[in-house]
Amino acid sequence: MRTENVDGHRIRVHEQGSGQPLVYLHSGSGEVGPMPIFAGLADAGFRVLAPELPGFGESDKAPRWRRIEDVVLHLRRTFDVLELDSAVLVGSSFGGWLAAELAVWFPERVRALVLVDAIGLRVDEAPISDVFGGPGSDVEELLYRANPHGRDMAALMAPVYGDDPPADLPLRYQIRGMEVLAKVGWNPYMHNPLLAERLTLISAPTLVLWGADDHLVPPAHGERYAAGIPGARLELIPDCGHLPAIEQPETTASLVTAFVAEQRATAGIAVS
Amino acid sequence: MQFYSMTFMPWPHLPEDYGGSAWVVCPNDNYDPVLGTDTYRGYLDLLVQADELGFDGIALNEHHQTPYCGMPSPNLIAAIVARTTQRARILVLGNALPLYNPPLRVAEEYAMIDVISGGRLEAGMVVGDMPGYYSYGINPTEARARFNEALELIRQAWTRPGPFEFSGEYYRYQHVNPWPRPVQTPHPPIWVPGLGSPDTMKLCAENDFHYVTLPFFHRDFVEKNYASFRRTWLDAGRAPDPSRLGLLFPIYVAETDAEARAQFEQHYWYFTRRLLPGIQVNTPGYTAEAALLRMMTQMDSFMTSVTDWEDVIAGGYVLAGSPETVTERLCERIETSGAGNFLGVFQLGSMPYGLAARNHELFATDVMPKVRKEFPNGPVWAEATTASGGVR
Repeated sequence: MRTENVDGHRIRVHEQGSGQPLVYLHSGSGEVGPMPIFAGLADAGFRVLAPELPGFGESDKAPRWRRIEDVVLHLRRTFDVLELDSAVLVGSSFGGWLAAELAVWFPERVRALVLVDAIGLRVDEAPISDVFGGPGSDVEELLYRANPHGRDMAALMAPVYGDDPPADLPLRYQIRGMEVLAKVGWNPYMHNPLLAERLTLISAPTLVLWGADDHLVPPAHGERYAAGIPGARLELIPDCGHLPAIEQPETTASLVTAFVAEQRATAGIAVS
Repeated sequence: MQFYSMTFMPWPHLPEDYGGSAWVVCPNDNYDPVLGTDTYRGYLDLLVQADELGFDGIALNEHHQTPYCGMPSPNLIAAIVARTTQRARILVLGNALPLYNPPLRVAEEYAMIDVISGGRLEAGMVVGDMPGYYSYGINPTEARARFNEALELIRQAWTRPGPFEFSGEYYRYQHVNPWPRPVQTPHPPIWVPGLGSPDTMKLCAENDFHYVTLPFFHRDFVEKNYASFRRTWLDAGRAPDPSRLGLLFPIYVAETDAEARAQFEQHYWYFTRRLLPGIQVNTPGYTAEAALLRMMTQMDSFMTSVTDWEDVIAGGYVLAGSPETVTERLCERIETSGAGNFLGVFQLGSMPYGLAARNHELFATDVMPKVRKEFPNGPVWAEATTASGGVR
């Protein structure tokens, strides 16, 4: 992974493949590095760029961030640093929220948008589970909600930590990532109350992908996104929990690829 | 030596069959307001008793939405004792600054208490317990920064002629001009409790604040904190000063060691088994990453992990015994910590009024005078007797 400097913050960026630029925004799990999802997208003809957000993994903290807009402006500057006029934008969970916000504020930078089990909205009848571990919270229950099929997430995440990592590295990365999530998602909890009414500002063709069995951020959130973004379509991934890009990388990569190809054919998205 | 009687005002009537978290989410139908009246009155009477018995001060804390502590507003209790006690200092180890908005309210209420009590307030400034951030919805990643800024605002409010403008990152006021102002000058003594964060120690050392560490861990952990504090204090160029250090833990005195255990043990277990569960949360961003990692690996020394009475005593989580036993051990703890203030928790968990009052009496008559005599000028800091620490 290489290091880039975005307005004084040193961040890591994983790049793989060549072809149409595709920016992948990671979830709170911080999946950057040689993950199978990136290989799948690179093989399909994308130049994948996966920046590691400030405060995650080995990237510098951004101590002054207070709200989601601060992250969105950082991402816009990341596009500048990566010399990307525009890109296909794929975001998972927290990254999905960021992708939606970026597409609201800077529509010209987004060729096509894929939201994967994105947080960011409040759905009264299906609230996002509390991941901040308050008193009385049940860790086992929370893990089940995110990963009901009991996949070995530690093994699936191994590429993030490199060869022979220190034993406490995953915990350290988790502590760092949770702090960023709390900075922008403590209260209002994991959403922006103004985002729902702004979704109509998104002009990019949009696919909303959702793990059919995501109990952490239920598919009702996907329905809300798909209903709010002009022309968007929701597609459920069977037998999948909250993190399709990690749980089912081949399926996720091929759904993204097919969607972009379809847009290319019908809406004439340029291959740059 | 200064002796404080500290109270948590816990809820002593949790039903036997409730085994869940005592923090934030403990269903509040477990609270009985009718019983609550007597409970509060008993605790308030104990504070008056402490004043009459010659304690130098009484101490209060602050927690929210929990049977662990009956003082979501310690200032209400402080206001009552400001009028019902005569001589004791009133130490409020609460006012979790980030949870008060505007924090100017703290400057105002503390000034009221100081004026009503005739200048007896000792003003605690607290970041707040982690569960409080789940109760109040305040962002824990901003806790430290908000605390520092609110503290600065309050000090200015007490020392700078008003009105003036305050413009910070979190708090901005066109007109800061609290009325009344505190009696004590330049302002009431400030106390900051800590769990070992070097930043808190530096803050105290640089500003001449009082420091007290919380007793939930094995005495080795606690004593390391005191050693770090003394080092930090001396490194800031100050002379050793035991009056700036507080030693805090539950204490129980009875006629004999055996009686002490027989009377006290069940109430200690009520405290650790019923009132502590749920307090251990790893609130994101509240603690520095390194400190959180360290704390998570030390949880086997946390009070709730200790299930054997002998280990409780050996680990120094409490002092319990005859006046002789308690005097000897307390002197040893004062010596080791270098603390010139002892904050004893005389009513713990489900302990009824009668036992707590007797505990107070025995301590005041049979322990306190001996310990005072042992340390006429407070303990001597270990560092002060070594060659390098010859600050005196």
